[in-house]
Amino acid sequence: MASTIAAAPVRSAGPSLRVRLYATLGVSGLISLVVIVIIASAAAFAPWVAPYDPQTTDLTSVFASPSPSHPLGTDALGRDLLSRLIWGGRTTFIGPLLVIIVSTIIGSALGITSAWVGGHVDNVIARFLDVMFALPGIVFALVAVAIYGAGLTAAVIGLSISYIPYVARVVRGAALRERKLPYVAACSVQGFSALRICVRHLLPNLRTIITAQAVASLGFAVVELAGISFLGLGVQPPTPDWGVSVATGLQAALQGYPAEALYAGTLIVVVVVAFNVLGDRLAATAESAKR
Amino acid sequence: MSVGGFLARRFVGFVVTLLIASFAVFSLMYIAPGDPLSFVLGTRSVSPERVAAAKARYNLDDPFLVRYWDWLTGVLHGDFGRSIVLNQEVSDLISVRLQTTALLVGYATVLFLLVGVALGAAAARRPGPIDSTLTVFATFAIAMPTFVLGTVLITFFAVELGWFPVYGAGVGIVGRLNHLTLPAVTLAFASAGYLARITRSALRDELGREHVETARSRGLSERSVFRRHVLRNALIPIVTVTGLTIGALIAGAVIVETIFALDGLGSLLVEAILKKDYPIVQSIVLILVIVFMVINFLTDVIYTLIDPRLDLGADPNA
Amino acid sequence: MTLLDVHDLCLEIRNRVRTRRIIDHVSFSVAKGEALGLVGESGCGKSMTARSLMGLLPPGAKLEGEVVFEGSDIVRMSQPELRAYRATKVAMIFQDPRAHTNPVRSIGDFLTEAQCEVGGVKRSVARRRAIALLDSVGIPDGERRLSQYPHQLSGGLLQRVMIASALASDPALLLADEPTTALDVTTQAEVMAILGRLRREHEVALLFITHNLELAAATCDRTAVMYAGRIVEVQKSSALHDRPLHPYTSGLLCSRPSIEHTERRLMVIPGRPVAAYDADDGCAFAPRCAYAEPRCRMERPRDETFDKAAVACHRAAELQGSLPTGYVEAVS
Repeated sequence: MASTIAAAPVRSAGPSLRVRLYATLGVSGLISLVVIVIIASAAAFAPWVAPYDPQTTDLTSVFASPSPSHPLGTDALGRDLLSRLIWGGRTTFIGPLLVIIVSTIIGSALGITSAWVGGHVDNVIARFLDVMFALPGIVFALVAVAIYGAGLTAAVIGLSISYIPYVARVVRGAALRERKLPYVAACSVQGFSALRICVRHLLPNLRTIITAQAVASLGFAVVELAGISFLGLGVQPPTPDWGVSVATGLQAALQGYPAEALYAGTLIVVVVVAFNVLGDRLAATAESAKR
Repeated sequence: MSVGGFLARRFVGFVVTLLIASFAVFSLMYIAPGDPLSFVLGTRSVSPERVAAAKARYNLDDPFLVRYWDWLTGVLHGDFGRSIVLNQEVSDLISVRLQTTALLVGYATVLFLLVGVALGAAAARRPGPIDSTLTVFATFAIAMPTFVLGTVLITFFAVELGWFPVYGAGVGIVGRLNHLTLPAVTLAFASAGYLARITRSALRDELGREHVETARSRGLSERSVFRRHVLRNALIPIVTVTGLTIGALIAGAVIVETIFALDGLGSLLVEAILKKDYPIVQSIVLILVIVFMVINFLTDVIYTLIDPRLDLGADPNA
Repeated sequence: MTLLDVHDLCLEIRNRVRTRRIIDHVSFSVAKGEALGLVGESGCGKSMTARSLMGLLPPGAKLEGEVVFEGSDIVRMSQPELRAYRATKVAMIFQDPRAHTNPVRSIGDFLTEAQCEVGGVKRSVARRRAIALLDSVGIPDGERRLSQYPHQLSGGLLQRVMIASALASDPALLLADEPTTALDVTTQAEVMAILGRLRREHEVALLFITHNLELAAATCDRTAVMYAGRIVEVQKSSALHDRPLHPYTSGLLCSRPSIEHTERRLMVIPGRPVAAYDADDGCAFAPRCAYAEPRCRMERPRDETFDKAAVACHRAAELQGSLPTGYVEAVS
């Protein structure tokens, strides 16, 4: 996405990319997108962007105040906060990204199958999902961690499972509506197999809704995963991760040095709000496009 | 379908789902260590007497389903097994911690209900600057992660300002409430924002309905109109949201208890996971699952009962 | 004996962007026990006129003029006085009964609410009265109906319940805002019959709003025609039908298809109806009027009275008696 924004306007006829983006996203959506891109890029290019290695300790300058050499100060072990935050963005983004990808794939498959096959299969899947809806995501994550041990993998597995019902419900609803449209009947009549219709015709038309849902969920996934890391059950210290930073920052705050916790916390809130706004805008566009 | 018949039917479905869920909880716990002995004894090496005692108590050679049944009946009698790590009966550990968690969640529920509905109602009745401010606040509140908020609150109110104690659960009613205030506020914050938003939009919708005009035309006072026709109708979506939000509160308690070092079920669960103390993990997860399902069931039932347009005999999954 | 006297009523609705005039110097009166029809197309302001008579206006509405009911001016009433007036003297029947009843409250609640909350009547007494009212509108098994909910009743039945509820307070004036528009024709006839009977039995005055000129003429003693927030003509219904005094009324009468003649093209009044805030200076109907003269566009016509009739047209005196009332006349 970063490269698309930076590219020159497309040569083809019709509104330029910038105009289309503005129309789809609006001012708030655009700002959110820019914010996310900046932060994600910084994290992606961390080795080149961060001034220090995030693990380098320097016990001579512990809890240092902001200075030219350490723009955000240092933590309890003298590690540069700015570098830790930049590097921390990696796990903070990658984990949720995995969660969303896995849950979207499985959830969409379940939703489309449920909508297409209908009948008993639909009923059974619906009941199964109902049970899952009753349980907050963190419960799944905790169970997964209990089984596989603390770490990012277990947390991602647990959280992915907990997100499946949300995707499945949205996709099922949309698929049921799409299914009634004439082009689906036209495909059936021509003899296309159910699988082919679903994958090559139905799915592309559900693309906008799935994307809107995925983007909005990404924000929640960031928070939940950071929360799990905060508890010490996700990303493990000393790996820099914003959730971990809030936890270590909390210990520091109790000693009177709230900097790390506040920086990491603010970043998380900013990212979550950005994803929420972006998801809202995409959903609104999907709504108006339907009509 | 009569009310009694409806309740009976839903209850049966609920019990069936509960059984299935309990089976899932039971089986999942065995995936990790692989064999039932490790499950009970943990991963550390233990004296032969302990091994013998465990074997005698748990019938570990029985087939899987029999062990499930034993466990289920045990649980229904209050026997949750024994924690090897802490060398205590799990039920003892849980009952002590249950109080703190229940108090915390209860306190937070009262807070979020009062604040959420009050703010939502204020925003709905006075469009204009009050409404816009409240909407912005609600959006911000919803996005705020619990652990960030908890950290911020502890930093400012406990450490910097010293208004509230930092740790522990306190003694006596007043002491406990004092210690639980910051945690309860942390827990309730996002939910209050969410409820405010839902309340506002539900009330706004109802205020614009034509039947409100009819009531006014009959000479009813504004207060009567609001109470009997706006609020009453808006209750339906509000109650639904409340049920689900209480579930979220319980989940959030895990984090809040860790931040504020409260001795509740949530913090016990986290510790048990880190120490691989499976009997505790299994028991607490079971309790959580049961509680969530009960809340869901109650919300579902209440929602169907208070809206006369819903057909009691209809299949909820149709 | 005059029950209601409306004099120079003006209504403006203000929102953040603009102020719009909806009712433009409307005057009429209703006698005790009389039925007055108020006819007009969508957007002419007839619904708002009825609501103004009860003070049921949206926020941002500014009402001017006089609405004198039994000696008191509604426009200048305080909130408590207004509520008492609504509870005892006047009642309104709305167009869509399903939208205007609370779906989560029972029919019994709907019928007893006003009596109990405002009148302080005991619930059991109110319920008995409700059952009697239901009986009077042709719903016999009142006891059972009281515990039913609006979604369980058909539109016609629900409208009868609405009428019963309006009559519960024994009002002197009934405002009916297109009460049968949402119903099918047979139900329409039933409901109109019930309204007519009850009106005579209880000696209630009726302001009957509709876009159906025929219906008004058939059920009301007098009929008023409204256009662009103004009243253009008021007459005895039979006279209005046979000898309209205003070109607009004539236009409405001529646009009706006739069952006796074959018409290749239906007559229409050229142009589109205009709301008060979009009207030009002078006579609002002038742009569409076949008899318009230059002065019609400059000067707004004043009400002129002929016997019991009133009309707002510069050329009323010379046109009277010669305006067509149907297709055949118009083309010949």
